[in-house]
Amino acid sequence: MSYILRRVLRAILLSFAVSALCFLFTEMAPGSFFDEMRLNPQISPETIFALRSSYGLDQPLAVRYARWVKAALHADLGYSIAYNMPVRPLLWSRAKNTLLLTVSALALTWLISVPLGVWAANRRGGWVDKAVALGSSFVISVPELVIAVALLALVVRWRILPVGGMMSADSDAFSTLAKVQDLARHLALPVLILVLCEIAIIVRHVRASVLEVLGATYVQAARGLGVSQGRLLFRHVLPVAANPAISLLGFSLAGLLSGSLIVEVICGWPGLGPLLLEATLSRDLYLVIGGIMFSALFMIGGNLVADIMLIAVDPRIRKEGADAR
Amino acid sequence: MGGNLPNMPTYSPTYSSGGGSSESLLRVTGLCKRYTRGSLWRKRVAVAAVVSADFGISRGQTLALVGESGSGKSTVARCVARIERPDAGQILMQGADIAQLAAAALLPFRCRIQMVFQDAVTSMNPRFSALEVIEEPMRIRRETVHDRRDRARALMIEVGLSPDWMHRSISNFSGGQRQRIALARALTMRPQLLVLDEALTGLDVSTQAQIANLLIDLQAAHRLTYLLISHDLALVARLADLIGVMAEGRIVEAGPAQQIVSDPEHPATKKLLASAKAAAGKLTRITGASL
Repeated sequence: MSYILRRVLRAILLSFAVSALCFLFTEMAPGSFFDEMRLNPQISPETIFALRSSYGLDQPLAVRYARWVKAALHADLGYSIAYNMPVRPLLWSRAKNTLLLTVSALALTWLISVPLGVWAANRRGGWVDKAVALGSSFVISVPELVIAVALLALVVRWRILPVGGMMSADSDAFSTLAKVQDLARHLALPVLILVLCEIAIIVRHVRASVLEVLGATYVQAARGLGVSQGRLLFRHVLPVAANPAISLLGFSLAGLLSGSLIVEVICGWPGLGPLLLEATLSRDLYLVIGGIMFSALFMIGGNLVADIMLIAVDPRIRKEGADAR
Repeated sequence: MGGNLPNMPTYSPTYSSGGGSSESLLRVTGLCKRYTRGSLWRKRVAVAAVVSADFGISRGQTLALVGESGSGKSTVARCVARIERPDAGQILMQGADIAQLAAAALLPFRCRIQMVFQDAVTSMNPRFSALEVIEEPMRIRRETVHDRRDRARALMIEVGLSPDWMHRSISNFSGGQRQRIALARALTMRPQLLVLDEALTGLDVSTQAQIANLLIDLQAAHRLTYLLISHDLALVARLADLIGVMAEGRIVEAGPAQQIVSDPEHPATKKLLASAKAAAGKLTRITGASL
């Protein structure tokens, strides 16, 4: 249990570190939301000063950070200057769409990658293995942006799937089932792009970890005992090969989240991506910080879940954790 | 026992020592195994690990295959234990050729042939307890929990381990203790032939001697036949009835252990003996004999 506690503590410290760096970097970035206002002769410098003061931007960085942390601990992420509304509801309305996209892509990626990686490793040198090696090499070498645009072009040209938004314009008249289907059709393209880009990496890692365990002496010993292929795979190979794959879960979550921000902009998915892009371009300070913090917390949470899963599947880690103290 | 085989000196088919009998248990002829190197991007090249190996072992005997690293002895062991499928040749276990048998047909023979690996640490599932390791062969054959537990307990006692430790993770055992667990696992299915692939290598001198003594005791108690793979002629001199010297994938010299040790003919054998003599101090400690 203490191992989990230490992981949680580390996650909390990491969250504070990310928020501090967020504040520091946004402060270091050139320009501010009020710069454009200064160019407008109808707005007096006093008004701009008063506005800056009302948002607390005239305070030193440390003071602003301390205030933000205090508010954030009460789930208040500040106020969006551009949207003139609190950041939290603004962020949440988009973040749940990003979560839907990311979690769907994550589930699909792993549901495909694990069996495919295990299959490729188990039939090393076979056609599936060769196809996986070639396909994944190709996808990894092509930038995510190119894949996204290419798929978008295909989908638009062949009119296979709807593009842009989450629902069709006339979806209000749909039944619940039809709404779900409509959502799934809109979700399909961004999920496909994310899955395709992420699967290439995960499947190679899964294949490599399974191959490593398959070559272990104890697996050969089990073969010598006459252990069936199924038992060999599920009792001897996969529990041990799962460790690196689970560790990868946290990284894949990070990859999918950062990927989703780009894919959302390309596919017109109303998630955090377009919102963060707009907020960054307009220097909407607290919205940018809130968006980054949300992504960071999602990633830290994902890694924490992966750590806890590792303990659940491998008691040796708990033991190592205890020994390390 | 082996007859007049084409690539090795003749030794008596009825040769026996140490209480062994002339009842032929295993006969290997023309064994050949190649591995393919290469990848999707590189040309695949076949590398012969064993070019041709011929030998036979009678029930209760110990045949040691010795040779330098890369001579092919471990590949022979893996083929005999059917962890690898040979490319050519016969492996006759009491007259039945198991060389090319599929997994299902091989299962009855798995009980009769068991293998003990060099590295006991890596030859067991790191997640398993001692009990799980020992009872795994019985699980495969769907024996009851009660039977499995009883047999594991008896075997732990027989190999010199306390049955109270059966629920300990194997990571809590020392190298020597793990090799004892490996022996217990191998004995679970009451095998006739134990393939010992460098099973004593990597252990300290004292543990080596203890395991060697255990092997002698187990052989006497169960009338076991050993195919002992080693590069250590000194150790082999104590345990083996027959020695086959391997070099470049072939058995280049074979015969009764004392004859090979006292009157080597092939340069590979002489080289191995020279190495063994260089480690004479160690030899004396392990075997109590001199070459």
